[in-house]
Amino acid sequence: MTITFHNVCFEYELSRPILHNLSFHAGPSDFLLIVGQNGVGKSTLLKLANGILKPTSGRVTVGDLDTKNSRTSQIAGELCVTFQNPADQIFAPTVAQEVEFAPRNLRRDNSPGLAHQAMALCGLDAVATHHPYDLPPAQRKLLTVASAVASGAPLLAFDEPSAGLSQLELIGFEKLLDALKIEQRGLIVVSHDLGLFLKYATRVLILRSGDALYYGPPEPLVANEGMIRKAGLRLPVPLRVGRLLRGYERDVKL
Amino acid sequence: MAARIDILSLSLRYSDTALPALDSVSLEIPQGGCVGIVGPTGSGKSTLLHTLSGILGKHHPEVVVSGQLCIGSDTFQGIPREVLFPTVGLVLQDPFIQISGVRDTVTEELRFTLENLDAAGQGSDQLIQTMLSSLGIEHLADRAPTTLSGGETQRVALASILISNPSVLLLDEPVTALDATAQNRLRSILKSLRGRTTVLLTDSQIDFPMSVCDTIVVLDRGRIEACAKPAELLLTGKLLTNVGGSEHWSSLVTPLNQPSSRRPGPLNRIRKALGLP
Repeated sequence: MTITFHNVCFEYELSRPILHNLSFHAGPSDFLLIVGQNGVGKSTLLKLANGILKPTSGRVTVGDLDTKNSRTSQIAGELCVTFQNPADQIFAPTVAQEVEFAPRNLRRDNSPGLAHQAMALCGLDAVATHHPYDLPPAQRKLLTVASAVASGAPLLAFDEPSAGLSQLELIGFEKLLDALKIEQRGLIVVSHDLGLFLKYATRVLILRSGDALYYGPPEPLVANEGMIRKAGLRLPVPLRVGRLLRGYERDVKL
Repeated sequence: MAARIDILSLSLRYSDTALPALDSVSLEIPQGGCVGIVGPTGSGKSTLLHTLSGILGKHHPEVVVSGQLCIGSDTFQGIPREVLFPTVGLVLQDPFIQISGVRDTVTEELRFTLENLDAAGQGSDQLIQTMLSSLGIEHLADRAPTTLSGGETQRVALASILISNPSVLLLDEPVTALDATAQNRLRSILKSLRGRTTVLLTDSQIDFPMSVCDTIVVLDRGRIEACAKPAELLLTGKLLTNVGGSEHWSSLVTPLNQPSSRRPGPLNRIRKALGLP
């Protein structure tokens, strides 16, 4: 199962292009990290990925499905996307019901098992009966991630999943990423958090002015200061300090 | 005009829970200081800001609150019975809630703040323009606030409060959706406010507060666990294990904490740069 963007162009209004001739792909075991400045079209890209938006020109395919003539419910079985703002997607009266919705609606075998496993992975067991809006924002974010994980979709796409998570939740979140890696689920993550995700990324896509400024593995990118600057990115402080400490780079792991 | 803040034994409990959200919090913040409040989810960071802004207080039916809050010497004393805007400006954690949505463009959204202060008039256009530029969103001036991306909305929310020029500025997780350039802009703005506006900001990570605040407060289950200068706090384990230090930070702290005889020269330079002995 692979998602592919073939020369995708997109504009919300005529002559204000958001994405321009964008091509990339992500498949099983891939971890595609998408970065770029505010308003560059990262969240738009995820809405194109699951067919909420359709390309103005070019094609988006998820496996055999072309998003242009597929229902979002069909695509959701293969690629499940979370939104940046949890309030845009949460609708159930309890955490458990929210997580159970996707697998049940997609008629997965063992949907209670999938939901249970996803809640455990996201550390939500203790709040299963709570109303989602009684949770702190960080846990609400994890709830959207759990809902996607429970869907059983082979491809998952998260919009800023680590925003607002504290260290304790981040430790749990990294365990989740490790578990998804073992399951060989393909991941697309939109984030500004290079410190967390660079070490997981198999490829990085930098969006700038609707186009890919960089699309490739993370290591050459980190080494390329000019590119980092051009992209308006900021490496994690310790990584930068490590660089200043010539000869000590090896102590600071990517 | 910045105001000094004195918080004395501030406790707050939501009436549907047994444990307090804030437990005897006492804190003195000098006039024009910049304090970072960090701590795990549910530690009381937002509750503290909401209490200081007056959103939570004696008037709120769902909280029980006690203690003493003093802003400035004669500006405010007691527990708030109403929202303290415009003395105190609060930028909420969720910028989509902050945006009023009653205006059609970003420019008018900012003018709405000025109108509420009876400050709209000659010169507002220039003021709005300057505010938007300082956050790098002048290109959004004519856009509808409800059509913006997450990071753009966060910047408009910041602008809509910054333009009110409050004595006390409260920022609840202001950088969660901001890209690196926007974070740098906010950092510059906060540095320019030093001494002129008293700032409290929360973050679930430590990177941004470490780079801009002069004091860091660690909250845990409603209590102040630690309160110190950023560099001093970094070297205590608390900040890293309990709050939001990534392993990158840990990989720096371990060598920085080595005895001076075993510390290579560059690390000594870093300690010096951080103001550590």
